[in-house]
Amino acid sequence: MDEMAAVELLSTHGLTRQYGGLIAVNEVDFKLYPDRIHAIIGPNGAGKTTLVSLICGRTAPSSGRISFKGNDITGLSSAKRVQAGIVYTFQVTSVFSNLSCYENVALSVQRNLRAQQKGTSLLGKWNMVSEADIEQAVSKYLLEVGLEGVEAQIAGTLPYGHQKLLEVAMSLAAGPKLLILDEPTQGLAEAEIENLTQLIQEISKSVNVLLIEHNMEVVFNLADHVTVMDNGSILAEGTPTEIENNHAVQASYLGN
Amino acid sequence: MSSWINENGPLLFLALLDGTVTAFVLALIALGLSLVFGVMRIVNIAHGEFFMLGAVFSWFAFDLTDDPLWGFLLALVLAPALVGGIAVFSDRFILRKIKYHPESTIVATIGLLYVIQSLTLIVFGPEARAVEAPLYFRIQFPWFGYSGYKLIVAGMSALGLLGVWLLMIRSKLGLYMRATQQDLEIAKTYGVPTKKIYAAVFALGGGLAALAGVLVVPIRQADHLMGLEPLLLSFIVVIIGGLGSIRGTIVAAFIIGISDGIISVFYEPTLAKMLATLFVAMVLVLKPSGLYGEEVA
Amino acid sequence: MRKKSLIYSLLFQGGILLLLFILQFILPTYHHSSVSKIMVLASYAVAYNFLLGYTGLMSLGHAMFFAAGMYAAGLGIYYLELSALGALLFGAAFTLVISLLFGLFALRTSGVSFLIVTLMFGQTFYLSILYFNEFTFGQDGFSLAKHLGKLVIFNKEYLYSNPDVRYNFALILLTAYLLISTLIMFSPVGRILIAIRENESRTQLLGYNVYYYKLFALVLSGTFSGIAGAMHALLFTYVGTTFAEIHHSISPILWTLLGGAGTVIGPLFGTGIMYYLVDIISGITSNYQLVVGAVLILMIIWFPMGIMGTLRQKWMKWLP
Repeated sequence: MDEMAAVELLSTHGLTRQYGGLIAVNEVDFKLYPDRIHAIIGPNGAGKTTLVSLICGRTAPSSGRISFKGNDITGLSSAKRVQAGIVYTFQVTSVFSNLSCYENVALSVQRNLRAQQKGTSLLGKWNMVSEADIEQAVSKYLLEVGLEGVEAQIAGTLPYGHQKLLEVAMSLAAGPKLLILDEPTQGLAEAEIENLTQLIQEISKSVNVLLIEHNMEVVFNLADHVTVMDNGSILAEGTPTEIENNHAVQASYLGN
Repeated sequence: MSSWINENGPLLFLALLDGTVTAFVLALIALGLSLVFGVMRIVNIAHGEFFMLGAVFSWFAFDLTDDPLWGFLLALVLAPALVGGIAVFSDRFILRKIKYHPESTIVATIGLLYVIQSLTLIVFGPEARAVEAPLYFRIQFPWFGYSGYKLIVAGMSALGLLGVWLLMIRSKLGLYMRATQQDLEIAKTYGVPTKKIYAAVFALGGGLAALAGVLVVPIRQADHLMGLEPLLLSFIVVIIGGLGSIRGTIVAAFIIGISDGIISVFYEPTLAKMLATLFVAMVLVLKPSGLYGEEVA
Repeated sequence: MRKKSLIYSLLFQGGILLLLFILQFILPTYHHSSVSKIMVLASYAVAYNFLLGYTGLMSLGHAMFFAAGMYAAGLGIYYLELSALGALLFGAAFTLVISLLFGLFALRTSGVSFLIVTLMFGQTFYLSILYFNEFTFGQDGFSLAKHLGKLVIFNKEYLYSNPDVRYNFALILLTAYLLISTLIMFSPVGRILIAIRENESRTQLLGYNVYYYKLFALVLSGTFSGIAGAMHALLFTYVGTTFAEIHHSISPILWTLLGGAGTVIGPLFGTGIMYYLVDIISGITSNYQLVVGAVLILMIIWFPMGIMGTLRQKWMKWLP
């Protein structure tokens, strides 16, 4: 009965996305189990980013279904999926570059706080979140990613690595059940990568993490479970060690 | 039914004739707007003023030469050239400065609309001015006579459309325009002088509107406020035809021109315009690529 | 940080409104009446700015909302013999419905398409006023002077077009609009609207249904424009098609951009400056549109942030 404990958090069934003649994601049955860091790797154009775009609702599937915590979410808008707890962090940073860091995180915080208060407050839906609560939460999340004290700075003026951290803070503030990190270490320096790896490790204690990553060192350091994609399909799955020893994977990907 | 035809047949025929003439002229104006939108990805609110300038200049040439035919020929050559020059100037000193940002361009061309309109008012005054047709003859139908000049207008507009079509498929400029329309960045890397192409397209668009202005002025009078209506009509045409699609623009000009002719003869013109604007808004909302359009990326 | 800038901006606006209040005792008749008019039109611009400046949506059909409020109030008084307050409420309710219907359709488009849809709907509305001229009096418009009741304050009767009544009602309207704008901009909703302006798709991916927020902004902007229109009908006792024309949709763009889009007080400055500029030019030539056009072009090239936008960037960082 061990199986019972391992109910999947997220699963896709025959998920497909076509762009004209090109099949970016082809009949993918993907399963993600809770309480571990799951990584997706694969060469460029393997369909990794399309797959997570389908999962978080940025792209609509050509066919197939997606379920999250046992509910079918295929028809939900991207906003509804964020509310359900699927939060996506962009590959290229996409902070609100003209607004202060405080506003960036506050935007994410206030929705989450309100959602939490909805049930408890007498005013229900119309209850406003107090700015003091928002302020407190913003500081908490900025501290968590190691960006304390940047509240007043305009986000666009932060160094690139810090913008990535800010992005992570925004995602955490949204109250994720599943945090999708799309190539978080891309464009970062060695020291920054190490710092971020530690941060992801820390985050994974309370949040399920789905990681898309090119940097194999990071993947093998962090991931408990790895899915390898190639040509829009799943090529192999397993623990990092299993993947490392898989001949098919070596041939198609790790070999070069 | 047959009595309705007996009674209204001639009227319907007249509506169809008038509608066809309108359609040709409208196609010419709208094609200018459509080219500008397709290649430069901007909406030129001052497009109707280019049409107005053509008409007013035609009157000026008539006044200058005091001869309908010579004045007409002079205007036919000079008005599009002059308006094209104004367009190049506007492109260089206004549009390029705001980097063709879509919304800024709309604000700037609204400004241009006001400036052109007021300057025309200052120079030429507020009166509506009539121009004699360069050629005057009537074609006699069983029920009524019809102005032969109107048919010449339709014919010359058709020539204009044909000219643009040839330019697009045969000339180097046309090739560059199509390349720029497809993908600006790729066109740049292949050495297309996009800055010059933008200026040329804006001039061509303005020139077409001016040509239409020269052609219609003997049918209707010229005044500084005449630009707004063709602007709105061309919007309708370009949207129904699919933003940026030339074929669609011409087909839509015929749909709008002829139905406008028919509705205006049998119903009130205001109602025709009201329904057309409502229709176009609904097309944009429900089918953003236009009824006949290719998908615009 | 936010609290400080809220207090600063309320003080700043309060100061300007106080100045406007005092001005009515000093101004000569002509300017007294001009400033009344500016305050009503500026209220319209403040409502417009809500959509353009804060949500990042540019409409070319706002005259529709202004005229909807104006005609609903005016025709309500004319045919239904509504009181002034009743007409104001009727105008507000009517514009609320119109802007909701309009928003449900128009917000399915974005960018340039949205602009053209607003232009077309605006034009449809204008043409329908002309078409139903037996009911709306078409091009001529109509006067409310004989139909509108009187305002009773402390058992004394006043006409709504009485200069002092006019001035103070306009001031109350403007004050309410500025206050509501400021409070919304400092609320969580304002934060979301600004986020939509800055990056719509990112806002959606933070879990907000962007469509509803845009609809909210549009309905609020439309309804407030309508109330400004209804107020204009009451205070100037005239209803006419010029207020439905496309020029009256372009004016608030000009006022807002000149004053500074996305600043609460900017539209007031933009409206005031343009009003007086046009007024002065009109003294010299009837052809004031030349100036309007030139200002539009010069501003969009060299001064895109407008007066208050530039001030905010340089000195007044706290400005909402």
